[in-house]
Amino acid sequence: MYLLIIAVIFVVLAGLVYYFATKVMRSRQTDKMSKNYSYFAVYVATWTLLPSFIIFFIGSQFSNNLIQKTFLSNAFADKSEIVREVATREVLAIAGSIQKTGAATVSNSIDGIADSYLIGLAQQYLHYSNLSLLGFIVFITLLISLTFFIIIKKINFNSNFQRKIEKFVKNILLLFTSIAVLTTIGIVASLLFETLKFFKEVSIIKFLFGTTWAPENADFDPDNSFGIIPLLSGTFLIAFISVFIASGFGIASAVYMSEYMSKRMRKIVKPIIEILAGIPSIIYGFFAALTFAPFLVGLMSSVFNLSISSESALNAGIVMGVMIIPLISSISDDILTAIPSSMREGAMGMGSMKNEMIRKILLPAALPGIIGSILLGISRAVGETMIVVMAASLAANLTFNPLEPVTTITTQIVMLVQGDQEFNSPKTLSAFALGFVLLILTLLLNIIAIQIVNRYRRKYQ
Amino acid sequence: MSIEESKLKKSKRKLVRRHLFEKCFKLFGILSISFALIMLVALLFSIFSKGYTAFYTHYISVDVNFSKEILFDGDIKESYTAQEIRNSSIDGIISESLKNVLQNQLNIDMDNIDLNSMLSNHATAVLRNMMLDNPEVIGQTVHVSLLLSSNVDMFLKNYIGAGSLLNDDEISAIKFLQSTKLITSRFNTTFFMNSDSRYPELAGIRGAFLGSLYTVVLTIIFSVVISVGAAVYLQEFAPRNKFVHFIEVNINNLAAVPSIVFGLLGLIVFQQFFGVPRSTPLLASMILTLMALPTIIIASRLSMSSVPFSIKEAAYGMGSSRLQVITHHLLPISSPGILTGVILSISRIIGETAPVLMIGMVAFVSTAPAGVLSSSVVFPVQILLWSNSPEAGFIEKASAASMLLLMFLMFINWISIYLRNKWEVKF
Repeated sequence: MYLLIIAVIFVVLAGLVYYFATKVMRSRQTDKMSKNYSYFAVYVATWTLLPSFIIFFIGSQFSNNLIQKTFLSNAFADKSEIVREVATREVLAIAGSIQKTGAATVSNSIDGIADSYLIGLAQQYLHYSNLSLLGFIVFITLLISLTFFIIIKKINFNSNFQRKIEKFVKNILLLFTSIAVLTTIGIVASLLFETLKFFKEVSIIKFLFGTTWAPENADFDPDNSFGIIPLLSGTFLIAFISVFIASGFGIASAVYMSEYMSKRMRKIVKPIIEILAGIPSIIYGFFAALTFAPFLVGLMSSVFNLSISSESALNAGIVMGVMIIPLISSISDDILTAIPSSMREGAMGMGSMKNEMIRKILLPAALPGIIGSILLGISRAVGETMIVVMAASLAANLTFNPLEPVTTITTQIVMLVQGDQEFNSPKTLSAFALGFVLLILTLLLNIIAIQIVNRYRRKYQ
Repeated sequence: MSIEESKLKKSKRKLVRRHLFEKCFKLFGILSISFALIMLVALLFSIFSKGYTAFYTHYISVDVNFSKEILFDGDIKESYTAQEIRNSSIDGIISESLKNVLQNQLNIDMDNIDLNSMLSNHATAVLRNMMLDNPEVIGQTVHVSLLLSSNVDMFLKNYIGAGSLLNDDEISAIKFLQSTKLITSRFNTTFFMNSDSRYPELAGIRGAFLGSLYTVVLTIIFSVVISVGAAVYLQEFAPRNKFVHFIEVNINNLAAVPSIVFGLLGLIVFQQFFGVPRSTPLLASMILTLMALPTIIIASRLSMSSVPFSIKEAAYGMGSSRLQVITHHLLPISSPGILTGVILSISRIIGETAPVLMIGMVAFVSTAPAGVLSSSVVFPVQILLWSNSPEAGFIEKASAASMLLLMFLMFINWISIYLRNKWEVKF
């Protein structure tokens, strides 16, 4: 409601400014050739409304805070700080319910303060905030008219407004583009900042080389409970199982599809395999935890007579491998089809069989690209979260046995951030340190992989 | 002669081996394709076979006698206040009506049947609301359908282990009621109309659906504006210098950052620094927008670069300005490609779970979100919440939700392929 009123007011003001601007231009225009008033009007409207919009946006945040701070804390001045905070929140909630439904409902009564007093305060608060809104609207209207007159007075009517607007649009587009850069800066800065905070409490050496990960002991022994080695081993164990599966099956199916399959079959089979890439990872996790884990436990105990944990690395790794198959197979497929057919024909002409041609000519030629795709697969597996959150263990376990439960970096990040909201405890901060490690790992893998793939692609073009 | 013969034999033997190897090689290719296909089928089958049962649920239709005697414990009056009706013993009249149905079944001991484990909480609420809305019903006998509890529902759907939660008397009562056609199955409207609940039979996807809808709509608005703008800038305005090259590399690298890191970014920058309210669709959409950017920018640029120069040059030749060329020619021609990029990145965004876990969208929310600033869950998180619950009823709901999510994703992928084929202009 509040937002709607503001939006309507701004649109109406913009319309008025546009209208008056065209009028002014018409009366001033001496050069009858250029009748394009709209660029001028848009130009004036933009510069008139933009400053007041920004002022309004910042001001409204401040005014609400100001009312809350002064008015409400005066009302509860004699209470303790905690009561004041709770009471303030309750008054705001009541005000919200009055705004929404019209009726004041007190959901949580507070000891020592009568409900009717709270409701009275809420009504007063609403009154004040409405008053401030009204004041704002008047102020904004005045400000807009003032800026309008200043702009009309100062503007040079003979300049090229179309060019000016295009320049403005170009700058806005540059702003959009820089969001991508800002995101990167944001990621690195926020993670780095929190990680440095973490390393103030836990030594970096113990973090990087410690072999016990037990954040639950953080309260009495923070220095020895954050060792990343078991997490790294678990992450890479699962990643290697998954990439082993994905590269074996992915490359073989890419070879079969590009070299043996008829075009018609390929048109059917390839999209079906690519469905695997479109399935959200939460569904893979659900499948891994509820269907595949019991199946694997049953298979291992009945066929191989092995006891395997239901949260084993093998389970998560295989399901993740299925998810990565399309990634590896489609990159390998691209690379195989990029190899000139003269190489194939040459090999076949020498009397080699298809498999010999593939093994001795195609695969060696495609090897760098395939290695790149495998690296991409590893980076994908390292950063994958939902499958391991649902199917891998929560307890850290330093082992390379795929039948045992292990945990990963991403699982621990999810557990730590979900666990408590204390933002300065080493437990939560360690999540950001883990995030930083994860970022560096995946970026390194990606940069290497993309470079290998690109260098190879250029060779045949 | 003999040497030649032995050579021939040797090479023939070798040829057989080579042919055999060729066959094995081919077989391995077929096997690996089949492995992928089998896993796909297994995944779909396991989800669909567990999930489709959530679309129907079981009701029991019985004659309920709203006897004043039982309801108000002998306090017989002309009319009752709402407070009295709320406190009345509704369980009593339900168990009375069940006794009436089961009276001829001598092998069933009514005392062993726990109504709370047989009927949903919803049943009591339905009867109470009937009395509150229409007080004349008190004292009469009415034919009603009542929702059965999730335990019974799961038992009737033959879930493994569901029977262990019921005792023998309850099981024989259910079997009798089923054989007399008093238990009927119906389309499960609750699943679509309700939000999350503590009781599996009352849990639904409405809250998660609306949460996802708000999130995705906001994400589309933000990401399309920003990334098409960025693509236009990079394609049309950007000078070829080091800074622009840096931006391009940057965008490619962003596409490779794990999604959970975006969640951490949102937690620190948007929630902590800018104070966007926690676990709301607005906060989620801000994070997901950043994740969608690289995909849409790359797809849009690809699509824009395929617009032939001749069109742009003709427009410039007619006196168009740069902006006019972009808005009148470049964007309309490349819009199918942009649209495909948007749809593909959105289909990834809908299933994205890890980043929204970071901003606390995992709380139990039993009401549908009222707007973009009220706390809510999204569809994939609802699947996670349900699949972490031990009750079979929630596992069924999680499968059904996964099934809907999968079908929706396949549908929009099909749409994107269809639109691309229909609208794409080839030069």
